[in-house]
Amino acid sequence: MINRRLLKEIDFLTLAIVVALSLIGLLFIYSASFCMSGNFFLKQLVALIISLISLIVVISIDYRRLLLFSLPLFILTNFLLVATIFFSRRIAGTKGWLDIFSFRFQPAEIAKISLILVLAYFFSEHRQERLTTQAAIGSCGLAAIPFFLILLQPDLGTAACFLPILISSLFLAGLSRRAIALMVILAILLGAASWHFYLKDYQKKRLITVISPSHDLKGSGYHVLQSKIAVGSGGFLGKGFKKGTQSQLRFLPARHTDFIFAVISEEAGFLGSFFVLGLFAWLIWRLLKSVELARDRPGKYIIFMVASLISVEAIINISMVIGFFPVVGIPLPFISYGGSSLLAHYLAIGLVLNIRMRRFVYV
Amino acid sequence: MKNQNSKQLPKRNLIVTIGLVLWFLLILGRLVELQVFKHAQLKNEAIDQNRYLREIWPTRGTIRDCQGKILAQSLSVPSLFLARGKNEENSSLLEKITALKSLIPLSSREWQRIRNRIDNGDRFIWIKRKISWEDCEKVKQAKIPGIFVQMESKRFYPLGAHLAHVLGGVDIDDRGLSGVEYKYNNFLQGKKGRILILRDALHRKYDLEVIEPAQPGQDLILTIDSNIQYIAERELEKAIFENQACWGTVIVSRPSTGEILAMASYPDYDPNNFATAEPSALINRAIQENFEPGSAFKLILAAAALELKPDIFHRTYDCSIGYFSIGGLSIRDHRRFNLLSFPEVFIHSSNVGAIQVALEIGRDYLYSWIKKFGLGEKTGIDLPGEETGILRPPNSWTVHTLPYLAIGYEISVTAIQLLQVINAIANQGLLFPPRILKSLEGPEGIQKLPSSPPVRILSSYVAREITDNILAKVVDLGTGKAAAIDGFPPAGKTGTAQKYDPWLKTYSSSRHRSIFIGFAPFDKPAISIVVVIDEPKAGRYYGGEVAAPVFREIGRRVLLYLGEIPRFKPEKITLASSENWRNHHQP
Repeated sequence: MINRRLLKEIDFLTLAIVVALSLIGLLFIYSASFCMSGNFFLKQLVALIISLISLIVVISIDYRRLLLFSLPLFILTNFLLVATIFFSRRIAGTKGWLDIFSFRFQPAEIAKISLILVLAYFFSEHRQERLTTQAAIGSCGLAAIPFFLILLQPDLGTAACFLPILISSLFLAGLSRRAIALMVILAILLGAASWHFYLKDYQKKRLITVISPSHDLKGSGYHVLQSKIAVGSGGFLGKGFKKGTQSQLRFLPARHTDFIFAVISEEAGFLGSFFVLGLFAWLIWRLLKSVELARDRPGKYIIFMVASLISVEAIINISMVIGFFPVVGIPLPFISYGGSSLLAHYLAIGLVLNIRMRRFVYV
Repeated sequence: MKNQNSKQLPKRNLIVTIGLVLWFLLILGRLVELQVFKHAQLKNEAIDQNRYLREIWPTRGTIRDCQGKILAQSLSVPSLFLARGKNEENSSLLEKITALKSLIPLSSREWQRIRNRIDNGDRFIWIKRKISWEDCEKVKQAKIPGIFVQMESKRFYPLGAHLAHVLGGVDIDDRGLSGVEYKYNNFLQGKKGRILILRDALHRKYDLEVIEPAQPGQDLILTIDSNIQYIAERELEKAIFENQACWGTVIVSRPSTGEILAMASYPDYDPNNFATAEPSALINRAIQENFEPGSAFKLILAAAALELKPDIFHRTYDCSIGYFSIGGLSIRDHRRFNLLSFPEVFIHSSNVGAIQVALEIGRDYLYSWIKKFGLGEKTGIDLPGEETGILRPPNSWTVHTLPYLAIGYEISVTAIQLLQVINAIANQGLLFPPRILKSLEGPEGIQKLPSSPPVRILSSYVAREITDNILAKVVDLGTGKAAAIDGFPPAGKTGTAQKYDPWLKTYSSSRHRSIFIGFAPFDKPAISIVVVIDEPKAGRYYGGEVAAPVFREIGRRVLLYLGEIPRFKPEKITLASSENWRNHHQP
């Protein structure tokens, strides 16, 4: 249970930033979807409440105790991922959602958290300055399980989110320059191989679109074009809440999920998008600072992995919206519609708060 | 816990932080680029794709006669079009059209056109425009997706072929092609409006904004009186049938203003089916046909001679020889005369006498009078396609020209030019240019058209002399007896021209043109009429035999219709008797 002293140590500022992002998200999910059937606003609101409750539950249990459950949790989530492949319906081209008691649930999001926990647990005993081959293989092996299971759905975007978690843990564990070079070469080889063997035509087109946006305006370039028009037409002050023509007239695809940032940019203008960007920067800054505050190794690992996960997701999503990155299905953390994603990110923040508030040894 | 690794941590953290900061700055720069610098351009793109301008077609003006009767009006009719769905295949479109084929008649040409459009990848394809309401209803009930009805306006001429040549006709888009529809197209068509349609990404309209309302076309009020037009057409047609003629034209006008009351031309067509009309039927013979006027031209000769030598009236001309020879050609009179006084030369239409008069006044003087009467140039009537006639300048004349000209050859005129000539006489020397548009009626009210001021071309003395002592007597005593109208003594001049045969390169003795020009009553002219009947083949061909009775019948009816009081009680007062019509049509 949390005692009063601990309660005082909760990083309310970080929590406030996160809640602010979620509320902004709710607002613009409403704007983007109030005229659609599906009641996305209400569902997201419920998801936010559940997420906040989960966060309270997570911070009330000492993270060191949670770490003991990391392996069973990891095994469980991977089982869920396996189950997803067999028992889920295809939504938007991928089989990523499980229906449990009329709740639609995306195990991949929870898998991110369990990977963070299991890697933290794995590296907790790692005391070398440099990453050992043994540790590298071990951690890669752990990350590979959910990664490939999600690739089977197939959902490249979500699977890709496991890479920052893995890489940040390896980085923290002490990558040599040689290892980094090796990884870059490996990534290029993997990229070239997947271009030929794994990537589908539509994915290749999306990659081409980043380099030449006018390549296929009606097809793969459509998302990016409409998104750029939305962002740009918003101007400095924006068109006003619920007044964005690009989103309200449905020119903008996936406007309440992956392209929510375009809606914000259009309706709230540069001020709005800058504000959201600033909140993310602030959040990540605070997370990175918390890394040093953690009192033990797994704590540092967890915070660092959470920070890199959130920053990579946010940056990739925003880059995609403004045409800097190919269109991949990565939602904007805390803002995009999606209960599983919201819950997972609140759990992650919960872990960070948990570690931070328990940074003093005397507790 | 305190090992070397933790010393590395701040450094690693720093690397990550720098990397993130750079990336954030990159994003920020891009946001500034898009939202500040490219804002205007991207805003336009956003606006462009959610709104488009469409033209609104105004209603075309109505054409009425001077009594307000509707001669042409635009009605709303359905048209069918095919809209290609997003990524719809050609085969699916073809299926829809095939399904439609059983419902409405489609000719093979239309079928081919639609197919070509489909193959072209067009998104919007007219299937059939301006179809009947019944066909439209059938198509609507079939509920074939992708086939839509668009309301369009179609020109409707309630009186059919009545006044066809004056009205003209329109194309499928209701643009005037001939007649007043063409001449006054700009007034009739109004001004297109513009409407802004706001639509979403699925091309669904959600708002309309009229930027510029369509201005409906103005109504035309013609000088034509459709009752008089009816009389003129009926009598013309009757004469054409009776005389088995090729073509004919009648123009009725009010000499005191130049207003055309009726303009009939045969053969005619139905402007409701303008596209399928015979090309020869489309010619408005009243203004678009040049012909040699024959003796009717002598009117101008008489006027010129009188203006030059007022005492010529008392001269006599020896016409006993019966022919006139010049340069190996001889011109004959239609019958033998002896000594003829100046007026008698014209009353009896002596060619020999007329040539003597012409030689007396000389070519340059005669030419200047022909020009004064407006021959050789357009009268300027407000109808398109008017011919100028043919008048050669004196320096290209041969020895034959002057004598031939005296009797109305080697010059070509149009019926409307003859009308202008006779109107100038009727008006005691004042020439009113003929016109057909009385006023324009728009939303701002009636706009009367200023009639161009009359030009005096003839002294009133000469005009009166010609009227009283020549033209009235043509009807009383001379060649135009058949033109005499009961109760309304007219003045006029006959004309009979042999048609030039381009094969034989001479004037034909078997093909003629009969002409009568005149006005009534002679002392107080209420109407003037020109009658031209081409190639009467039923035996009679003199202007006095073929054209003069048409003048009489039209004159009698029109004068009574206009409320003119006859000098004495006429024997026939029927305006239009069904008996006449029946007699004429029964063989």
